[in-house]
Amino acid sequence: MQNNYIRYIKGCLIIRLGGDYLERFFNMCRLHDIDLWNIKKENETCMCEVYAADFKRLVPFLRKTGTRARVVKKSGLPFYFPFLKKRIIFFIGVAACLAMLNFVTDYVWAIEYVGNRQISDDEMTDFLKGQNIHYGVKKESIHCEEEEKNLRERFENVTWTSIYFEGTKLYVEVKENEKSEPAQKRVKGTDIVANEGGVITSIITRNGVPKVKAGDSVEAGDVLVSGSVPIYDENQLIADYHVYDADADILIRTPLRYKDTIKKSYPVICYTGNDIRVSFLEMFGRHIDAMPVFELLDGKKERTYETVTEKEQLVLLDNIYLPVYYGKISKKEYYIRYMTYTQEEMEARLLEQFEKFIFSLDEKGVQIVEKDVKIVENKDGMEINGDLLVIKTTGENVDITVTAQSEDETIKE
Amino acid sequence: MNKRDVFKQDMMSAGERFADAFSLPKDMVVNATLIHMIGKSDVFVENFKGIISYTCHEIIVKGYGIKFCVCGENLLIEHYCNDDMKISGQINEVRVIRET
Repeated sequence: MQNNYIRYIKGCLIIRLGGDYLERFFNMCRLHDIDLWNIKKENETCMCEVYAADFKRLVPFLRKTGTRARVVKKSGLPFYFPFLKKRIIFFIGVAACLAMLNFVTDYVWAIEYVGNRQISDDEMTDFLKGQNIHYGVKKESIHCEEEEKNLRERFENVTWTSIYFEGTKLYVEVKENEKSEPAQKRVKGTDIVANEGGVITSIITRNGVPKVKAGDSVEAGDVLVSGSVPIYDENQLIADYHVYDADADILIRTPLRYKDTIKKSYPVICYTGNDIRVSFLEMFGRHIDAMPVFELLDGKKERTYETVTEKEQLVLLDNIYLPVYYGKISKKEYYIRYMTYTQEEMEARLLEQFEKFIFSLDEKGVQIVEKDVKIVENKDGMEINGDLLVIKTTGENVDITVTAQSEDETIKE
Repeated sequence: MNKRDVFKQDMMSAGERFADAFSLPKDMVVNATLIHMIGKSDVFVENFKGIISYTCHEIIVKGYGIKFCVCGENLLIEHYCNDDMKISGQINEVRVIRET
């Protein structure tokens, strides 16, 4: 007894038999090793199945027993070949698609970073580019273990890394050392210098030697607190210098100028309502869309459009990212119209901007002592000039230069 | 030798007695027809001569020295080849007809 798969491969025929001596016919078939199956009596006729190859061998027995046979159905693989032959293009297409899929899955088409908080995605991308890992690179050329080691060496706060593939996507997983204390900075020694000129209103020094006191006038670049702290010997002579990073809260009263202008005419974007929405396809860097058709229909008129593109990558089975992108392009036609401000509007806008500036100063902790604001009309529009006197924090840490230290010594001597 | 044994010896052929004595399969020794019935819907037949009659309700198969008749409804010969055959359907009765 043979199973259905073998019957399918060999090919079989369903035949309808009619005659008076069907039993004799079956027995003759049996004696000559012709297999029959699913023999079923239906009124005067009988349905049965036989191998396609055996059908010709039935002829003498049919003649001898006076049995009539008619093929009702052909089934099995040998009868499927003509069907395949008719649809050869389809099957070539399927085969080509599979070959293409096999080809593209050898490359990386997406990279995802997991677990990075302190290190930005851009930094990781730059690092990978440095290692010649980018979109479209062959998977074989990436040695994951080696890259993991390089990644740990490049980023000191990375304690664990894992680089692996899922489909055509490259995953870069990292764990950062969040609990680690910031590395101890080597004390180079810094002075605090004034950022701008003015009068010192208050100075509280935490580290270093103050060089000015409240009420002193200073210029931009003057040293306010020195980071080199002298060490005196028993004779009150300078024996040595200890170098620190100067640290102090210094407030300075300094003038501040504010200037802003506004033009009478200003542009406004007006949409015409002519919107174009087309789908596009991008494969291997080639962009296909129907936009040239619109341009052709439109003639050679120069138009300006606001363009919004929605782009998505083709993904198979969640993991196989293909170099095929699809999406929609929405274009809104617009033109620019110039409007004119009235005098009141210009004044209001300038004052609004000035208020914002004052508010931003407030947020930074700058106290305003005096303010003198003038609004002047000019040929283009209007301008605002403000002279402010403010009290703000000052001081910028700069490295102690050797000459500055030796100058200090000579002064002391 | 009791009465039952005498009856048995009369009924059995020499070949059958030989097979009995040496515990050999009878279908091999005396070319007997082998009939397996699986549940109430399948009959599996080996070592037979051929089909005598086939209808939806009755199939008569000729074996060696016997004929047997499978009676039932919707009888179908699922498989028919030189070595064996399989009858399936709603089987009501399997009757053995001795050939004199």
